[in-house]
Amino acid sequence: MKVEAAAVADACSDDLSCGEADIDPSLLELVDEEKCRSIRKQYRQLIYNVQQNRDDIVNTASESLTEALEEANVLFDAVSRTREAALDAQFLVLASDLGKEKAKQLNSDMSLFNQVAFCDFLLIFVGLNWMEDDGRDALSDCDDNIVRSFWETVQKEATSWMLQAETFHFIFGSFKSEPSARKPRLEHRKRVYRMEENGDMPTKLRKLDLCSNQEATEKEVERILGLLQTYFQKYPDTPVSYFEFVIDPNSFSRTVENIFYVSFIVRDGFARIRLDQDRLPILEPININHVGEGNDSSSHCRKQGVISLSLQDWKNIVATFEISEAMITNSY
Amino acid sequence: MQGSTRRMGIMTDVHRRFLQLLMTHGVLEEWDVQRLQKHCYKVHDRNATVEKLEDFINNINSVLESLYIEIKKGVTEDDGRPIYALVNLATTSISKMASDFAENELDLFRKALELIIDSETGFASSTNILNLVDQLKGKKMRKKEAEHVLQKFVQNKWLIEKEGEFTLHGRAILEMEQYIRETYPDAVKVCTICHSLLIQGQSCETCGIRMHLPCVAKYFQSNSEPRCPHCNDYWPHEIPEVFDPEKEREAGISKSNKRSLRSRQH
Repeated sequence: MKVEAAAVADACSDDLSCGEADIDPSLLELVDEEKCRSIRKQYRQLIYNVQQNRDDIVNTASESLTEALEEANVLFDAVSRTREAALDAQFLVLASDLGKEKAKQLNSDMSLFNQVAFCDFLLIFVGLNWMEDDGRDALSDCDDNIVRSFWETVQKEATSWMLQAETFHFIFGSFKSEPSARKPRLEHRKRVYRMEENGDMPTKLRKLDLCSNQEATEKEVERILGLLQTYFQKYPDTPVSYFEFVIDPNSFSRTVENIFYVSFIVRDGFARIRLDQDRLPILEPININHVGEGNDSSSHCRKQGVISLSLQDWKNIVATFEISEAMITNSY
Repeated sequence: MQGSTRRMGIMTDVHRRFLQLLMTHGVLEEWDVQRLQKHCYKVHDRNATVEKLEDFINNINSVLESLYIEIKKGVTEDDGRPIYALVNLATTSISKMASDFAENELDLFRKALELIIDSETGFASSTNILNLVDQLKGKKMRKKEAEHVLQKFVQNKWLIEKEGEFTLHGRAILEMEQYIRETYPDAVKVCTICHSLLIQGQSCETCGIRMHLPCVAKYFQSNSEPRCPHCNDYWPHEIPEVFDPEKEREAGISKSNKRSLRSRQH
């Protein structure tokens, strides 16, 4: 190493006058490998630390960036080779990036709106500051009542600061188009669509759901499906009147259960309910082979219907249709 | 614009404040209206004498005439309480832009209105209304949403809900009477006594004529043997009492506690 350095020095003296070239003779001395390695290690450590604490440095008003720069300054004093200088340059790029971010955050507007702080204040104002402890996830979990009370409290305070006159509310005159032609009034009061079991069913049916457990329901549905299919085999191409099928003239509760089970059959696509030419509902078979009827398979999952049947209605139907015995026989 | 038959009155701040208050509530009972009128005088014009309510309102109406808005006086169908509502009278390009309710919500109201008119009792069950949700114009509405919309109508005093069934609020009847008569001329029911639109009321079982409950109360007041004015058959329903504001104020019954004394009968 020494020979090389000496040769360089000679070359220097040949080509350039030593006085002009600012080469510090100490730089050309033998450099301690160990020292260089430790400098490089320190630089890498410094870069790693700064990168890890990036968020901290940028967002908090701390001196950490300045301290890191000063540390780098001290390290650079010992640097004599390109390798370490390159690391120093890398650190400098990183530090200047962070410096730029910090500068961007500088408040140069007259009024700065800190959204996060405002949200915290809002929660304290409404009295929901217990939510902060649970973290932000708590906000999405809270139920409607808390949300409603939050907005009501905010509204009470906010309206006193805003002078706002109520607008004119009306309904007449807001219909955009002419009303459609009136449908002829049905003689029969019930309108039946394809039914589907879902959570919006009226309470009557939901209570029934609790009585029978899942297995019993499925067995009953299968049994009734069997009865229905037997009927269809015996009398092909004759749809059965819906009411004649489900009504049990001796028991109102059995009738309601039958309606419940038939709705499963319809939902699963084994039968469909239509209105015949007298506008009375009928049950028709759907052959599994006929799935190709495009309309049905797509539309049968979108239609919903609700049937309400009171004790009086049931008695009226039994009288009108002259139902003497139930088509769905009891299994017990 | 046709010439106004009324000489246009002068609106002062008293009238304006009153109008804004009525606009906020939409519909108010008579005692409330009187109280608010006094309050408006107190705020703006302490020393003036409080004008008679009828003249006060006519004054305001004369100014609103050119805008096709009116303060209408009516009577609630179940109780016979006098109410005042601020209603819109005309369908214009501007009124069609009303944004209180979305297109599908308005259609839901229209379908509920139709069911109420067609029904025997003047009440449409919520199940029947919800069954029509699939046919609504505009954005598809789920049944759960439709329940919320119906509650919104009740809150804004367009519908009344009773035991799961809906009927028109007095406000809606005052505003929509013309529309109903024009759109459903065959299904519309009319009271034999006052000849105005009837949604809830009592009917004679023999001849089928109908009367509002307050009209029944007034007609058969202190009549021990009520008979149908048309066919003279014995009137089969319970005769309600005539609404007496004095009695109610004395008794100090708050609105929320008062149970309806009338039964919904037909």
